[in-house]
Amino acid sequence: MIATTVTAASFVQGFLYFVGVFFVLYLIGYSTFLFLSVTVGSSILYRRKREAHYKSTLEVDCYVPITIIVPAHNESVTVESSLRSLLNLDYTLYEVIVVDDGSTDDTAQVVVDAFGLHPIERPIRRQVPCAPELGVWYGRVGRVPVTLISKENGGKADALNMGINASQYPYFICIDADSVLQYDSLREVSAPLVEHENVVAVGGLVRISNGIRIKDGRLTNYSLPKKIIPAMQVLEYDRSFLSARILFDQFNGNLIISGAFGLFRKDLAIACGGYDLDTVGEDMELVTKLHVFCRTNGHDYLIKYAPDAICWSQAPETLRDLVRQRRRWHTGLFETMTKHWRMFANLRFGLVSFFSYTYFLIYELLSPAIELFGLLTVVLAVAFNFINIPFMLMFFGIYAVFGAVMSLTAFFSRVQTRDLKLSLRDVAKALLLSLFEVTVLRFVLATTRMFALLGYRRSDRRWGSIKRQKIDAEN
Amino acid sequence: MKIEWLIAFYLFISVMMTVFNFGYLAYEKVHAKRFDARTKRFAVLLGQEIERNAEFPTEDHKRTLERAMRRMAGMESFDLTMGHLLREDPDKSERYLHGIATVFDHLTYLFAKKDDLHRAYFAYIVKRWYRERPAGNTVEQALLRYVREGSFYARQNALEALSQMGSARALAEAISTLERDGEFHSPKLVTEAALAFAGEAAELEAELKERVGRFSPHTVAALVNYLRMADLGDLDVVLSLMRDEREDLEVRLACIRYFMRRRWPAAEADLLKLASDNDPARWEYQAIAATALSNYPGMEAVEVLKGCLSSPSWFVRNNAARTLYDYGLTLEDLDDVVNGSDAYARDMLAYHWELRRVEAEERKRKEAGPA
Repeated sequence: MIATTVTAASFVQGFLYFVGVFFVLYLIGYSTFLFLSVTVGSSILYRRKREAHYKSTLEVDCYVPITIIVPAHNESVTVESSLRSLLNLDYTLYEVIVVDDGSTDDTAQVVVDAFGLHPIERPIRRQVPCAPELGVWYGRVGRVPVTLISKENGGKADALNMGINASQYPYFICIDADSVLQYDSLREVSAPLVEHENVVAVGGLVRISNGIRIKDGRLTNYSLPKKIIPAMQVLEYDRSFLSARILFDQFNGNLIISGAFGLFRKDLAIACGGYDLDTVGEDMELVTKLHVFCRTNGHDYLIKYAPDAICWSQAPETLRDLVRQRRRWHTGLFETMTKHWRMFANLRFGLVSFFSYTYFLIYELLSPAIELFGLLTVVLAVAFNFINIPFMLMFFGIYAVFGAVMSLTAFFSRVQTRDLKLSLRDVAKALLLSLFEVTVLRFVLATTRMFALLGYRRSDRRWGSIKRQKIDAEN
Repeated sequence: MKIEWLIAFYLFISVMMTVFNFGYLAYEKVHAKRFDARTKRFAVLLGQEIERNAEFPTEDHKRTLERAMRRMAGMESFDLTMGHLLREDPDKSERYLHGIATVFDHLTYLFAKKDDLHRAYFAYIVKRWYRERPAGNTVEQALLRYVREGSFYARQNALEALSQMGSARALAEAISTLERDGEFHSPKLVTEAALAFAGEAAELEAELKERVGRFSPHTVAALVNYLRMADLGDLDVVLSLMRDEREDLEVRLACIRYFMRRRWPAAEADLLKLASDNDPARWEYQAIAATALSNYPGMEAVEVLKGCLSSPSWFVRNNAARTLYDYGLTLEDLDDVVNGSDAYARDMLAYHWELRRVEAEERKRKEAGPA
């Protein structure tokens, strides 16, 4: 009996040793990635600030024609203010296409009434698949042509494909109907097209609009959101999205351009088949597909990230909405990663495979399973009395401080390089929230991701919905 | 290695980054204030000095200015001061800038050894404030070197400066230097630089023509676009480029657009031929020619455009319908298409007539003002 217990204990000890080695490597990998992304991201933001100060910027007007596609589903609360923000952009050549994807509220009527649009019979080319249109309205608001297409419900990807089919220009931008573009965002997002050859897509910087005031597309008052959930997301966005995407951008390795604000070359998006109708992560899927298409066909291409092109978007304000959003994101990630599994450890894709895809696979897609495994191991270690509680607490403390410091570095880099003025209260709030975000929110979101794929069904084309607030934007 | 060492290493990184964050925050705040104050103070001193030397800048003054402008902060102060002086007294500022032109020659040597950020800023300052005409060889050669060797912004600022300096030979040389370099420089920027040229446009045209054999198709297309926008160019040369089947697609399309803006009866037959070409592989020529024909109304053009309405390409149908509307025709005039068997052609015509009706109504409503 004693011999059996000793054997079991030594087996568990051996098992825990290997688990320990695995987690040390896993955490070193993640910490190094975090450190690299924050360091590279911050230094590039500071460099850009210095370059802009000393006139290393494009001073001439060099416009490429752009179609802005705004897919909308039950967005009657925000769609008007969002569209008004699109009509006063500092850019000459663009059109706006709103695609009402079978809303059950009066989204289409709000747009027609607010902008005085007229019904029109418009022939639409079907270059990428989408559900049929029910009606088309057109009008010119100031100098900007505005088209509204009402169509049968088909999901966000379907609505975006309709926008691509109806667009007139060679580049398109997709933005969410609850978002507001900064006045210079089109100029900034199109700058990489002029600076580099063969740019096929450009991602803009999505920032959280909760708690800010915008007038004529210009930020007039910046502060952290009052509510804790969106305020923590501000820190999370700066650390995980801004810094990481700048790092991936250094080697053309971005696999995601946020669906809230991204620019694409239309002919290539069409050649790839447009947005995938069977995924909820259509934004990531399209970018990954562009990598696959260009590499497979031997095209020189660049997918750039433009942190100066800013789109203000609403973040979920309640935990329930946040959990729903993240569940959707994780499902989208799973669908994209599994659909393009051939990218894994594939020499043809270079760093996109060995760095970007591997990162998303290990630290995003599989992390819930790995973290769950870690928790179970801790339970096992406790059961066999193999755990060193003071060491564990110290380790957790260092992890929290490290994560918080990285979040704050990314946050302050953005604040400093954008010349934003923070109140002392906001600085203190950021300090506290950074710890809270690492120690609490991160675990809530990890749990969400663990259960995200339970009850998963492919072809679930429903729109994600969060409770909308009116955007504090004046025109 | 003990795990504790690794943990200590990451703890060390955390502490260092915290120190860096707050240290940098404090440094930035103090430095920005000091830099602002210093730049403004220096700008005031420089302003007074310039005021004293506005009419006849002395050698001493030029040396003082040169010393100041060796640093970025000094150059920035100079930029601020000159901006102020230009607003206050444009004539005086111009006289002063002519007087200090040699300072730029000396600075050129200095900035040649500096990094791209410095060179880009120096090129920007030259573009704004260097007034020697014809430009000094030293400055011109330095800018050409930036075009050849610099980063994107150093190249672009130097190109803009050369465009402002008004030497057709130098700008044409810069454009062909961009070609030799092999680095990408957007054709749109080349067109803009040529359009912003401050010298004689005819001279620039001649210089570019001399070098045309050295240019890539992208640059030739950019220059044809420039000629179109500037209402320049040898019509025969452009027509022969448009006719040349071996010529690059972009170049030929630029030529078609050229004749859309500059109506020339001799080009009409070629445009009609391009618009009649139903080969699906050549739909781009057909689509642009269908638009270009808006400047060549006539019975033959109407018949060709009616044919375009049945093209499998949406763009060709769209452009043809728009041009037919621009001719001032009514749907009754196009009875054979409206009552014909091609539903795509009918839909496209109906759409354009409806679109223009909506736009006309909106215009009327706006002219009438709010009810």
